[in-house]
Amino acid sequence: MRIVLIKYITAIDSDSRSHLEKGIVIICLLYLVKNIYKGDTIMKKSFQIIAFLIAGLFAWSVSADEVSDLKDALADLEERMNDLEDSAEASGAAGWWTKSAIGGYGELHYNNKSGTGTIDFHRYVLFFSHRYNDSVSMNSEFELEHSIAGEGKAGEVELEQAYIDQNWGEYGLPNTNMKYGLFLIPCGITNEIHEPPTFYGVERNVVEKEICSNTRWEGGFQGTHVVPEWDLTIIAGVHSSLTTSDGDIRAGRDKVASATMNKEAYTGAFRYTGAYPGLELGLSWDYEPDMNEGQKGEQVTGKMWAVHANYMPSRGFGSRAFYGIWDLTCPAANRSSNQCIENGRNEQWGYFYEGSYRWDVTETQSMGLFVRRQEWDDKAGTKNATTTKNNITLSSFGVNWWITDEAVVKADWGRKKTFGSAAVQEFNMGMGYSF
Amino acid sequence: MANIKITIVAVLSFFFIVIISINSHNVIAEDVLLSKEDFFKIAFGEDVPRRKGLRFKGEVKEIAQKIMGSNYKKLRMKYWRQDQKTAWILERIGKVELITAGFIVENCRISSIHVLVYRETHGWEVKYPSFRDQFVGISMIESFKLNKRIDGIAGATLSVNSMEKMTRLALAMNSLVPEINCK
Repeated sequence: MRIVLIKYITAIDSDSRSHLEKGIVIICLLYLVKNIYKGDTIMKKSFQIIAFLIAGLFAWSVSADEVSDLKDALADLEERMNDLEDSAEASGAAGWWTKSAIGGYGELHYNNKSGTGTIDFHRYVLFFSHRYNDSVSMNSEFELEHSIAGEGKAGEVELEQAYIDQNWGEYGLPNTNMKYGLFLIPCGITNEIHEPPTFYGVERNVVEKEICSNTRWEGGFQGTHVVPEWDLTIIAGVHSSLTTSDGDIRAGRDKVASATMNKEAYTGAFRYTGAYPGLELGLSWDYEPDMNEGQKGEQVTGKMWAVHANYMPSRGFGSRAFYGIWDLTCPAANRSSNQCIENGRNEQWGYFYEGSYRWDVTETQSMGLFVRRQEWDDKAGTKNATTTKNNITLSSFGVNWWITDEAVVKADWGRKKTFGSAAVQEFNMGMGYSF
Repeated sequence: MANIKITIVAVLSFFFIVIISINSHNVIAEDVLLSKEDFFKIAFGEDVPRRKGLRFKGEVKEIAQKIMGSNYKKLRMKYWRQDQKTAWILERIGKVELITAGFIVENCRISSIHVLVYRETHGWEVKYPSFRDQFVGISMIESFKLNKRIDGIAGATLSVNSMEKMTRLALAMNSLVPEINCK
């Protein structure tokens, strides 16, 4: 029995092993084990033990080979499964609509100044964007203001952004994007970010409206470089200029509408977020070599500096502050073509600070309260006998109710005091959304 | 004077073109901030474990869709594990584009998060260390929420939202890995 068994084990090679054969081997081994302790003499016992060991050795090596084969097959199968999963989950060839996106925002305002009320759908904006490939995309913003545009109507149809955006990673400059086209100027906080759910108060703050001439866009080139290790973003652009015959910054916006461009202008900003999580500190600058209307003759040079702090966590205390100044060089010889030498607009300044608190109402709704103090003077420079200071203060407080994070209902109360005039009370209500 | 200006512009343009052409072979499409290989090195050093997966059904599917939305579908939630540390590579759309991010979870807390690919043209703030540092040590509370509120700068809200959701997903899936004990 034992000799037959050993011959059997050694004759069969590992490739033709089957479960049945394995079973037979195991049964025989067990039989051998059982009989070892039944042996009569030491000789018989020794022989049985040796036979047992040899059989066990072959059986074990057979099992080891098979397990190794199984392991290889399993590893191969796993790899094929992984490849299959990856390809199943990856999106296939997609149509143009998967690379294009629309978005937008809008706001309706009710304004009441000293008892006189007006209602206006102030802005209806649509964003269209399209991604051509990993590096190049197009972004645009189309706007209708005050509901109805046209001859004699209150509204305007405007193109507020339209540019090609290219990532320069393929040129060996990662974290760098270049805009070619019509883009927003990086001044302050709200010139670039003004969707209604992102700020308190029905109207945008007046200080940034005046100093940064919100909303201001120009045509040209603008580069943005991010240095992640330093928590820093750097923006710089060369583009069309403000042009004004009297130093009114906001009125100097040409909106890239068949505008004069005999001299370019330069703007830029630094934005730093490393001081505290969620806090952005910014420095904006604007250099306009020639702001004169038509940009002919004597140059009117303008320089602007502004700093801001923006801390707006989605719950809890928040704060914003801004301070900006304009310095216009208004040649006396230019008096006839440009009034800025004598109407005080050669120096302009403005600042505001705001505190807020936002809390949960339900899982998706929240509310916030704010107080804000604004002060500005757009005629703070040299004046003639008839032009006076234009120091204006506006103190306000109000509430935002975010029905969702992107849809908001607002109300605010304000007291506006212009130098030399009586204070004006105002009440505003509005709704705004973005998507 | 004009001649000097033109010369300067021409010289600068020339150098600019030279630099670009020298660097053109470094094709860095979109904005790959960190490669997968480098991410794994940060997570596991030289000894990167084999990729594993949680089958996307039952509890795994239910919890993943609760966090990421009912449209979220996978075959498996893939992960890499070394002792009580797991690494996850997840994707979610920010505003318009996908953000690819890596999450390292150790002892059921976030060890670190990394933005691997950022394709949006805005909201770069999520790339900053000061933003990502907020996530270190975060863990999960009931309903698979984070034990700390995450905030970005106004304007990065949608990207921030996506990072927050992916963080919740990484922590939730980590707790479902058989060898991980989160009690």
